[in-house]
Amino acid sequence: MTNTLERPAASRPPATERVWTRWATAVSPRSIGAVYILVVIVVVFSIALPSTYPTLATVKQVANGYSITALAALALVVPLATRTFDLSFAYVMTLSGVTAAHFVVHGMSAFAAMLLGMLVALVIGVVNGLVVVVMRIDSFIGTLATGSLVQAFIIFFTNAQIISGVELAGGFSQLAQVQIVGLTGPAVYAVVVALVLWFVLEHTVVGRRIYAVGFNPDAARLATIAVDRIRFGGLLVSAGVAGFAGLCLASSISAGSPTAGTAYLLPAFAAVFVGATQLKRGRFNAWGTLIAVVMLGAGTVGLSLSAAPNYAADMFTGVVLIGALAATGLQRRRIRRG
Amino acid sequence: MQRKSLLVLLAAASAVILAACGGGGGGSAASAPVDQAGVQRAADLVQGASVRPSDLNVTEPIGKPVPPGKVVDFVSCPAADCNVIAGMLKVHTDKLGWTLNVLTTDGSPGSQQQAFAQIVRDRADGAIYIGIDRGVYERYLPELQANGTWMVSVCSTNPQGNGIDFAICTPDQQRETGRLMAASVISHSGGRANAVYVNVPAFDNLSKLQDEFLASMKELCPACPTASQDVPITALGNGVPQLVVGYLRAHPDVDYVVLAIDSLASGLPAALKAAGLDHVEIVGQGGGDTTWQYIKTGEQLASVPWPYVETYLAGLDSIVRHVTGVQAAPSQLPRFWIVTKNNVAETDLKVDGITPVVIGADAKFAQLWGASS
Repeated sequence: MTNTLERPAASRPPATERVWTRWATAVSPRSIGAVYILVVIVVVFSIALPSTYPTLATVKQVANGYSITALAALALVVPLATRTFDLSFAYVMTLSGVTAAHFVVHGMSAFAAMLLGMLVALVIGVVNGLVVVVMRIDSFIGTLATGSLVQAFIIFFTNAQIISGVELAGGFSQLAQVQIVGLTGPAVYAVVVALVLWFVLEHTVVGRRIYAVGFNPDAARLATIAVDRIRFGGLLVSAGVAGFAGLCLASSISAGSPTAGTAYLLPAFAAVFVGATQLKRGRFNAWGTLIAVVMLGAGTVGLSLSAAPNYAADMFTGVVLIGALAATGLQRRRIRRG
Repeated sequence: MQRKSLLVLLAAASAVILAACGGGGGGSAASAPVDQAGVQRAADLVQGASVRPSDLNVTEPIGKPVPPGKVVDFVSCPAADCNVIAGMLKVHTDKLGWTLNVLTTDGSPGSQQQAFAQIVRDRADGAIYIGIDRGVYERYLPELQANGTWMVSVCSTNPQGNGIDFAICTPDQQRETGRLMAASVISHSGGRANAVYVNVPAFDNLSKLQDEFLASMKELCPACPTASQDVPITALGNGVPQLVVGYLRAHPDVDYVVLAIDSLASGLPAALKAAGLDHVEIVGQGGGDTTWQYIKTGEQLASVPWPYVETYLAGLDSIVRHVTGVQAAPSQLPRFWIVTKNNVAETDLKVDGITPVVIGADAKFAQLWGASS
């Protein structure tokens, strides 16, 4: 009995060693590989472009230019953490944007129009929940189908025309074009959304349950976790954040474009999957996603400043994505091996 | 750990290599003397083009009744504008008592070939298609000719002839637009512009527009540094503003951005503002509601609207003349028009959702055909 009581104390390393181990793990390239890649990118471009790259303007360009991509990627964190794909998020972005733009152009106040935009986004979230959770259709196919229906509705609603008008240049454009300490609105919103997601996922019971559902839904169900409710909620969160990203996008271009969101489909998935290799080793997480967006943005901005050929940005993204996904696979295999 | 390090090195190496691939580009701001004569010519060009044209090039009435019941197939494209054009054509074929079949495509050669196969099956009297290279439908041409289908090619690089009965919006017809964009930049800057032309190489029908812009800049303002920036087609949608901002930061002397198509400006004013580059002026071509809005709010300097209404109705006019046995009018476009803040209010007058260049262009065509407007 004495032995069993003493064993844990004897196997436990001293406090300083524990702190050191935790710190070493946190800064290990296995935890924050993207940060190391980011450092390499910054060093390389700072040497190559000493007058233009290592400046505050570059920081602003990365933060402002990739903030909507960051919001779009953050929309995917919760559903992917529950092992649910949401391919409709890009169409939801478009839908919320054109809805708000339509009502602003027709005389509604910007705030009320944005609320309506958010409302339709959440309605699509509910539809996704019904299709994926209630009807048990595979999320990859189900959300692809709802996305296609949303796009069809957008074309019907807009007659495939861009919604524009000088009314959109007023209060509506302020959502994305407002400057806060040199950063545009969406850059600040992305940090706030990441903060909220981080808190919920890391510091609440709901967050633990979300990850539990993602890691092993059967085990989570046996542990009396309401798996279906959590997956449904994940799709609602995705639609809500995507809807907000869509409002920012429409505000940024001062128009409701019937295809605006689709361009964010691949960059957002790229960022969220790279983000899963950061900080939490194989878990989809908010800060890792932001780090990934910053890394991809820093590289792309460096390439554009150096007048790289027009295929360079796509090639860079592809290389980084393959590298990051290979690293994720490697980490998972290591975790399984213990 | 070693594999991870390898990935880091791989990413860094790719960044270095890609950066090294970049061209130098960009000219330095010149303090060379201004060519006043060139500036004056540019100003004259702009002044002349600021007045909206009121006449079509096609003025010869059909002069006999247009037979009803004809069928026209329109091969649409995935862009939103194509739907608007289809709607406009439908209004006019209805006026003639004709049927318009809209064949939708996703822009891929496969879907375009299916559309041409459909035209063969429809035995259409005429077909209008946008930016499709003849290589895509070459194998259908013998059957189309045998069916007597009048082929109208719009905005492709293929010349008229050899199965293409009427070609309009050809690269050569777009040259004048490039010249007017150059004149607009030179005139506004008083001969002290430093301009970058943003091109999309995938749109090869726009190549002569770029050539003409660069040549006109050189001719009218030899002291104005001018460069080009290519953007990939994959950047359309969300990447263009950051590519342009990156270029402008790397070339801080550049103060005019000239766009191969106005839709590249989507989100650009906000990106310029966020980067503290809102002194940079934007000039484009093509037009559209978002462009008019940017011009009204002062976020874009000028645009040379493409005469979409006149282009497609000229194509339809050639079909009307073919089926009535009247000799087709030569392929011509109306005089171009520059839209600035001074005259942008005129763009509010639309034909079926599109701003025509010639006032009342639709009614003028209907009059030529003897159709009720």
